[in-house]
Amino acid sequence: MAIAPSIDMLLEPAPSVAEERNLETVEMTINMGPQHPSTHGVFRMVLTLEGERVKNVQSHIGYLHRGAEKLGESGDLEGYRKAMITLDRTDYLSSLLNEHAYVMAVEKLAGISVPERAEYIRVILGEITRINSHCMFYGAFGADSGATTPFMYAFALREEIQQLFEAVGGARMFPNYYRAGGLREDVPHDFVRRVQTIIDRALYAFDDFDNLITTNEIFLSRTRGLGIIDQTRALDLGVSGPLLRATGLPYDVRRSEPYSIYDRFAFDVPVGTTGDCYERYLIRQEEMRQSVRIIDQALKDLPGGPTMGNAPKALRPPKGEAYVRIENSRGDFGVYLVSDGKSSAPYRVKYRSPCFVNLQSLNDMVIGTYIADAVVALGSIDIVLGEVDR
Amino acid sequence: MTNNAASELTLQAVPSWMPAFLVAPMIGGLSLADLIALVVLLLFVLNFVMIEIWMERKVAGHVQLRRGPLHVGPHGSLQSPADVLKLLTKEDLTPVAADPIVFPMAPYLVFVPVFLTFLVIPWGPLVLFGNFVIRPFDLGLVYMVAIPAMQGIGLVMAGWSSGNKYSLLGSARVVAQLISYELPMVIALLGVAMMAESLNLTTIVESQMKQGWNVFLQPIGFLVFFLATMSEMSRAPFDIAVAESEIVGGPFVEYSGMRWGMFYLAEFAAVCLNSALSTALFLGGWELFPGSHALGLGWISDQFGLLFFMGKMIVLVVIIQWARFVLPRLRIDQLMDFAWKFLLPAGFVNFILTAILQVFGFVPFAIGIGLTLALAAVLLATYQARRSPSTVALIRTSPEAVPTSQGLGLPV
Amino acid sequence: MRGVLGGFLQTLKSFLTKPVTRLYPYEKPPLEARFMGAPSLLWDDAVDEVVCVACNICARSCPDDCITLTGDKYTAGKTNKKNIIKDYFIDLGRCSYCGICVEVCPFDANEMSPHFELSTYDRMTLIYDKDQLIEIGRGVTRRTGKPEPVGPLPGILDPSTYR
Repeated sequence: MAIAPSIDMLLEPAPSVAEERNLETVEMTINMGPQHPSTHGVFRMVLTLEGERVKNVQSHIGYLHRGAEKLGESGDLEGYRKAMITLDRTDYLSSLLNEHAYVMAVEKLAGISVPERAEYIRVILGEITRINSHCMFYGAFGADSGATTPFMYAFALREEIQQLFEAVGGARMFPNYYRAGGLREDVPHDFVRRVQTIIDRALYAFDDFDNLITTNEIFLSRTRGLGIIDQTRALDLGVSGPLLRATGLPYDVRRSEPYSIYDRFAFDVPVGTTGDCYERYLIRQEEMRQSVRIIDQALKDLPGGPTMGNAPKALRPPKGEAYVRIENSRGDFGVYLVSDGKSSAPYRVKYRSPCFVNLQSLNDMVIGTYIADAVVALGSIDIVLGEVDR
Repeated sequence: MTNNAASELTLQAVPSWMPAFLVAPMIGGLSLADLIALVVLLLFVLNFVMIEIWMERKVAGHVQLRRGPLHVGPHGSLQSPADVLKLLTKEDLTPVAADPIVFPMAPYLVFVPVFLTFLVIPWGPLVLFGNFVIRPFDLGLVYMVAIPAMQGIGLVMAGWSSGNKYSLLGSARVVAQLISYELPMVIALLGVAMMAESLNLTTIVESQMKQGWNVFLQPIGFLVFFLATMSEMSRAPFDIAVAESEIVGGPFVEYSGMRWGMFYLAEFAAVCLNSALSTALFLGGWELFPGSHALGLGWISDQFGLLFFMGKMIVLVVIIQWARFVLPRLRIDQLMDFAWKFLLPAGFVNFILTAILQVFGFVPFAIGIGLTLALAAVLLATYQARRSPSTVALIRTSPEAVPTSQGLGLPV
Repeated sequence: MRGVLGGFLQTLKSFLTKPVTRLYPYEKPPLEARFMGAPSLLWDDAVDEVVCVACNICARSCPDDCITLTGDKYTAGKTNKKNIIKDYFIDLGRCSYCGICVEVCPFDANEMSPHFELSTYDRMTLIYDKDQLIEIGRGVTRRTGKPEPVGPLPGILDPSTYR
C-alpha cells in the first residue's frame, strides 16, 4: 500500500532548524519528575531541551532507596532468611531469579549441596519469572510508545503466572520460596500440570503480543534506529543483558558461566546487530520463547526426591565471602556475601544491580533525540527502580 | 427537493402542517422552529457525547480483555453523567502564573467552533420536519473547513496562558499539527466537490445517491480525509500533543474541573462531527446501501434516513475510537512528515485524477490511474531496495559461539 | 500497512474474547492452599488453650520487627509448657507477610491465615492483639511441614478458560 514509502522517511530525524540558520534559541529545562506516567518507577530525568531536541539529560535516582543491603545485615536471629525478604523487594519483577542468586551465594559460603529436584524447580520457576518480567517490559514499552493495549495483554498472562506463584510460594509477587539448600517446601501436586498449562497459554499469548505491535509500522518507526550504543561503549559502561546482546555480543551468563543446571538445557541466545531499541524489544520477545523451551525440557526431566539439602537448622556459614553471578531478566545480577563466621546474619550483602549499570547508557542514547524518543529509549533499558536504588 | 435557491436563511420546503407562528422569522431572521431545532441539536450533541464516552470506555475495555465501566448504572451506562457531575463539583483551580483573561476563555474557543459546524450537517432527507439540516449553506464545505480552524487559536491560547512549560510545548506541537493537516483535508474535499459539482453538503449527499458513494469513487480522498480529520482532533495515533505518557495532557494540563470538561467535550464532539461529515461526504449520507436509490428503494431512506445516517456515523466513531487503542503514537516530526510527504501528495494525486475524470472523461482518467499505479509501483520498488534487510530477523547463536567472561577480560 | 491491519485484527479477536476481569468484591478471588495472609495464633482444641509458649523466636526472626510478646509462667498444668503467652501483638501495618515467623516456630504455634482484607481507617487498629490473632486463626490448619493433601486443591485455575 502507498503508506510504505513514507516509513523510510519517518526514520530520519529532521536536522535542527536553529543549527541550520544560526538562530539564537533559548534552552528549556524540563523535569520529568519522580512522579510521571512513563518513568518506570520513581526516576527523575532533567532534560535540557532546545525546541524538541534533547541537549542534555541529568538522571536523579535514589527515590526508592530503602536500605536493602543494610537491612540484610540485621542480626539477632535468622539473618540470612531476613535478607531474602529485602532482596525480593528490590527487583520486584524478577524476585525468584534474584533469590536464586542469593541462595547460591549462601550455599557457596556454607558448602551446602542442593538436591536435583530443587535445582530443576528453581530453574523452572526462574524461567517463569523471566517470562513474567519480560511481559511487564512488553506492556510498559508499548505504553511508552503510546499503545495502551499491550499493557493489558501482558497483565492477563502475568495474572496466571502470579496465581502459580501463589500456589507454590504463598504470595503472588514475593514468594520468598528458595532457601539455602533447596526450597522452603516441595511444590504442590499439580505443579507440572499447571506449569504446562501456563506455557501452552503463554505461547499463544506471545503470538498475540507479536500481532499487536511487533510488525506495526508506527511502532517500527518509533523504535528502529533509536538509542544505538555500539559494542565497545557498552562494554566500557559495563552494560549487560538484552542491551549488550542487542549490540551483537552473545553474552549470557547462563551460557558463559553456567550456574545451577543450565548447562543441561538446550536453548538459544538471541542476539541483535545494531543495538537499537527495536532489537532489544525483539530480543526480549525471543527470550520469552527460549524460556518456554527451557521450562519444557525441565518439566520433562523433573526428578523426584527431596527438595532440601544438608542445610543446618541454624545457618551460620563459616567466615568467608562469595560472589555469585546470574542472568537476571535485566542483565548480569550479582550477589556478594561476606560472612564473619559468628553472627546469624551476613556481615555484608551487596547486590550488583544490572539496571543501575545499564542506566548509565541513557545519556548516550538520549542526547540529540526528541523528548518522545527519550521516553522510548528509557523504556527500552527496562529499569526497575527498586533494583537501581536498592 | 434540492436547495438550489438557498441564499435565504429559511427552512426549505416547509411541510404544510407546520403552523405559521413557528416558521415566521423573528429575531435576526430566526424563527421559533429554528430556535427549537438549535436547542434540540445542542442537547443531541451533548447527550451523544456522553454516550460516545461510554462507548469508548467499553470498547477500550473489551479490546484490552477487560470490561470498562461496570458499576454505575447497568453496564456502566451512567458513568458519563457521574463523571460530568464530578467535573462540575471540582474546585476551579487557576494557576497563579496563568493569564487571567485568556485562560478562562480558551475552552470556549475550542468548543464553540465544533458546535457551530454541526449546523451544516445534513442528517436526513426530506421527512417530517423538512430537510434535516439546520442551515443548508451553499458554501457548506467552505464553512465546515473554516469554522473548526478556530480551534487552533483556542488550543494555543490554552497552552500559552497556562504558564507551564509542558503546556507550551504541547500547544506548539498542536498548532503545527493542526495547520499541517488542514491542507490535505481541504484537498480531499476538493475531489468530493468536483464529483458533486457543488459545495452544498446536501447536494453532495444526493449526488452520491445518483453516482455511487464517494468512498468507492474517491478511495484515496476518503483515506486522506479520514486520517486528516483524525489528526485534527488529536486522536491517537496523532495525539502527540496530549501524549499522556510524556507531557501528560499537553495544553490541557493546568485546567481542572469543568474547564477541562469543556476540552474533553470538544474532543468528543469533534469525533462525532467528523464522523458525521465523513458519512455525509463519503458514505452516502442517509442512503441504505450503495445503489438503493437506483434500485427504487429510495423510499426506505426517505422514511428512515436519519437512522441510517446515525448508524454509519456510529460505525465511524467506533473505528476512530478503536484506532486509539491499537496504534502507538507518532512522534511530532513523523506526524508532520506524514502530513506533508504522504497525505498532501496523495490528496493532490486524487485531485488531479478527479479533475481529469470530470473534464476529459473516463478514458484519460483510466490512463491517469494507470500512470499513478505505475508511479506507486516504482516508489514501492525503490523503497524495498532502500529498506534495511532484516526487520524482524535476529541472529540466534549456537551454544558454542558464546564467549566466556575470561574471553572478554571481565573479572571472574 | 500489514502490521497496522494485524493490530486491528488482533484487537478484534480480543474484543470477541471473554474478558479476564474478576469482579472483586462481588466475586472473591480463588485463594490457593498456601496463600499467606495475616499471621495468626493457633488454638489447641484438645486442651483448650493457645499453643504458643512465648519463646520469642518469631519476634527475633521477623525481618520487620512487627511482633511484640510477653510471656507468663504456666500454671494450668494441662500440658508440659513452662511459659504461656500473655500478650502478643503483631503490627500488621509493618508485617511483610513473608511467613518466616511460621517457618521458624519450633512449636507450630502459628500459621498464616487466608485473611487479606485488613484495610481500616486507623493505622493503630492494624496492631492485632492476641485475641484478634486467635480469632483469625480459627479454622486455619497447620500447613508447614505437613505433606500436601492428595486430590484437587482449592482455588485451582479453571482449565476450560484456556484456548
